[in-house]
Amino acid sequence: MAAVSIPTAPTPQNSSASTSSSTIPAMNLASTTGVAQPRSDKGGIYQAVRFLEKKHGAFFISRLILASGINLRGFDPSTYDDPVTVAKFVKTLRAMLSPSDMANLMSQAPSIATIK
Amino acid sequence: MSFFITSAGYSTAEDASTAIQEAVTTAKDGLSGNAPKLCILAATMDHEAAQVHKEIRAALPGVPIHGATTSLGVLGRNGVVMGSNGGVGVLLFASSDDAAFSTGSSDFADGPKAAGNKAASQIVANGPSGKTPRLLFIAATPGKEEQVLEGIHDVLPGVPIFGGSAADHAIQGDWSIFTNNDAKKEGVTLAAIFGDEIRVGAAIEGPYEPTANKARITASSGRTVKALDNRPATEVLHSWIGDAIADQIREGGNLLMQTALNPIGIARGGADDKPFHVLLHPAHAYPQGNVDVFAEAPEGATVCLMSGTGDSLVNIVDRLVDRCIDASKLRVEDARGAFLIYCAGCAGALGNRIDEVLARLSSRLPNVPLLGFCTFGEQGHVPQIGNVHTNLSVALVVVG
Repeated sequence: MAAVSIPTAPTPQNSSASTSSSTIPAMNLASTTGVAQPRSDKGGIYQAVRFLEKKHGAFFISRLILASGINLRGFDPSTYDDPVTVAKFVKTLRAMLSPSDMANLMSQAPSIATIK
Repeated sequence: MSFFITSAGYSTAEDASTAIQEAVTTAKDGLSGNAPKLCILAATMDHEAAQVHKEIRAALPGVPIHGATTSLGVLGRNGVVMGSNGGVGVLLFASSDDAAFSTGSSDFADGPKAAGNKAASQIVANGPSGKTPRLLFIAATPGKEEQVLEGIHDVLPGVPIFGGSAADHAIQGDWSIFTNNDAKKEGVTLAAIFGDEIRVGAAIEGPYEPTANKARITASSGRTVKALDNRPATEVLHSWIGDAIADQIREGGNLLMQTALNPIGIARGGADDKPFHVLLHPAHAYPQGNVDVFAEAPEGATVCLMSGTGDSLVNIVDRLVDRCIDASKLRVEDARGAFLIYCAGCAGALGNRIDEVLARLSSRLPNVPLLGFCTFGEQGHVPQIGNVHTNLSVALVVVG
């Protein structure tokens, strides 16, 4: 899949986490909506994990790793966001976050919202 | 003057050296100047295990070491100890000469039963002559715990064994045990408490009740259930649990979270009206119908669906404290240390309510030092049955 290197997704005006450090790069996933989105193919999971750890704590990340089987603490800003891994990541998160928390995360990373 | 004390220390420091130093310094401060005689160590896999062992050995020269990696975080009196780069906890024991401690360990080079046998033999050789341990702490790497227990039983029959299986976060084999000599990726470590005057209360339970759904294991291999009542195991599990596991049944996948409140159990004796259930945690489903669990699933055994709730996963602590206190005839104010094993699957499902578990324990056992692990298998002694390996269970040891 060809990568379009755009480092960060636009921060929505209604986001509660509006600092640049908590803005998550969009992940390089095929959109099911047909709407073109800015995408990057690396660092998205890493940034999402940082955002989640800041909001929910390190124990939450441990639980997320246990439930997903993805060694999320091994990710860094240059780690490729493999679409299969991202799909598993999002699917696990949907089971662990409240709808409002999930929406908040999605507002930071709009492209992962396309994963069902 | 006779005394028996423990002291705990924890750290979330980013590097292993600082984390061990912080935890050991805090724990040693609580020993009132007495020399530690045993160290139980918990660390998450985020720290490199060999480095953790090197640091603890340097911090506690000559002190017997026993421990393992814990999933999710270290369980402490004030909550889960877990930072961005892991957590560490130690429980140090000190005593007058009427109590003693020893450790033993082995890898699985000669098989798990031989490893249990060898580790138990070291416990005897390293302990006071002619004495039988009051209790053994165990930490083994996951997969062969039943055989390890058999090997220990051959050397130390009837000695209660409590502990949990080493764990990582992602179930990728990144776990370790900490023996007196090194960190091992595969093997077993034991630590023993000796002393006629020491009061020891210990109990293990699963926080579930049996349901009416039952089936016989008609095909299995080790820890894989292939068929229940001659139907694919996944099909039966799906009919019991429902569509919460539909995706995993169809495509294969991780069942840990979905089954954490609905494991399966095998009744194993005990009181007729309330038998003890060895619990099997369905871990992974395969499209061809097999289900992996974390304990042996013998053909011919009848399994039943168990049911638990978030409340039952919290409230179990009260029952365990009551049982420990009753069994040991120990007054709460005389308790000197507590050791908690809490299944990682239960802790993962419970989420932040794990803090309620720890707060409840701290409230029931005020000022008692605590070290807890989140494990991938739990071992404990069940009256009238003996030492068992089970899943999704909680074990507590209180000493004084």
